Amino acid sequence: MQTLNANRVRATPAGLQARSRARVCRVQAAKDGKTVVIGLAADSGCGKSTFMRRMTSIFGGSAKPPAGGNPDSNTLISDMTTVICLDDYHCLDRKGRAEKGVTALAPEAQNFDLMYEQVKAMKEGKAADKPIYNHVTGALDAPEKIESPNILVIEGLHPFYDERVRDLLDFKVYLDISDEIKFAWKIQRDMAERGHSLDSIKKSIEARKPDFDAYIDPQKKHADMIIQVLPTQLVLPTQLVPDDEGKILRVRLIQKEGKKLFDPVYLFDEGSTISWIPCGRKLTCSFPGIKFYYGPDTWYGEDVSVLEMDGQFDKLEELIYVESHLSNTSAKFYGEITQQMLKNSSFPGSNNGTGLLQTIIGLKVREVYERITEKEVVPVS
Amino acid sequence: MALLARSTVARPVARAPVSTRVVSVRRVVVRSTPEPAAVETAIKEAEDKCASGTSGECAAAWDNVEEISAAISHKKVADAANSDPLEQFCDDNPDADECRVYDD
Repeated sequence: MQTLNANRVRATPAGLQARSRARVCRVQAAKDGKTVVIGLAADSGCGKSTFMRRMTSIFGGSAKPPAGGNPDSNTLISDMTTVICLDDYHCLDRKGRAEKGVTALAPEAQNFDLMYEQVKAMKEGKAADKPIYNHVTGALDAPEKIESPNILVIEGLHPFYDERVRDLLDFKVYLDISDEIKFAWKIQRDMAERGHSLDSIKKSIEARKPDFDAYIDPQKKHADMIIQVLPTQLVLPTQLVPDDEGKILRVRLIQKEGKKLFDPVYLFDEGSTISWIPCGRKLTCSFPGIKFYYGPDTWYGEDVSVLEMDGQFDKLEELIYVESHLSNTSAKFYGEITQQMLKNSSFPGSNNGTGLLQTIIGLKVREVYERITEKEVVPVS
Repeated sequence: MALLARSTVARPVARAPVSTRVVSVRRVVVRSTPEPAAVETAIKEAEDKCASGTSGECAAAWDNVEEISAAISHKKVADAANSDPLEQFCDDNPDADECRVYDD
């Protein structure tokens, strides 16, 4: 059962009554102040992505589709955040795209004018009647009314494509999966399905690649933070057991320097280059171990700092050990990252860099929110 | 250390007798389900289009396959997450006796 935020209540009759009164009201907390808009570019389908769940978990509450609405809605609403899926702004549905011969990745299939209008409206505190793209039927369903939240997250293929929308975003994240990992993940996802074969999965990826490279990939230069998921370097590909392919990962967090809204996380000494293997005398790890790298770099001409983790966590103590050596994580108490990872331990990636670095990005989103609104967010415990 | 203790939730294990209090009725509205053979049909169509249609139609057809596969996989995840009827009941009726939460 989801417990509320940090205010614990004694299990006395008065306390429970107050608690149940407080709980009965499922309406989002009245918004008083600015709406912070976050953009997340990802090719993994909307709103249900693990990244989104980790991010919203920092702010408390569980994210659910709008109550009483279309059950196929892609929108997720929790206490402070609303996540909308940019697929809802497709102007061509599945039939339309088949007729015109365009993929969902192409800009011709998106209604950027409407996207800009509605994101702007929600940023200014107004509600929006947003269309719904039904991923199962491939059709556009009747619109749903979305209220302006404290934090609006727009997730999808083209959050930074249109310049007007890009300018509305306070913080931009791009999730960059390498081709090998994408292939490994799709095999794990699809091979059990009747009809799919290794060949069809490969063809599906290859057919989408030209549009992906032309329209989606170039957005990564605009992001404030980029997560790159790559094959591990700790184990040779030939040594990898097929089951581990796509599971032992090298994950890089690329953070732009000089931004007013957040401070990049670093290891030991900011601005220097560090290579760190935490496993040794104080910490025993099992195969293949953990390796960290931190250092400055440039990304499309801009200065960045890169924090990289390769390998897997095996035990809780490894996680807390690593957390205690990271600096500028924006955690509000010692062990907050570990606690978030534990809370979400059923999510994929909880034992590797994707979970760790996505959790850190969630904390950075909180930092951005606090700097913009000049309000403090009580950490969820 | 408080850090390591997960917040405990105690719920009365035995079913409490149903009270005569009116409890909000949950309309059972179900998400759309992809047809069972949707992937197979889409793949066949993609292969046909790529053999005979334009490259745009070919790409659109394989993109379609990807969309359907993703929808199926999301449905599986959603089904797994929604499997506890008590959790769903408590989400809608947080003040019911069965849903009391105790914190230490």
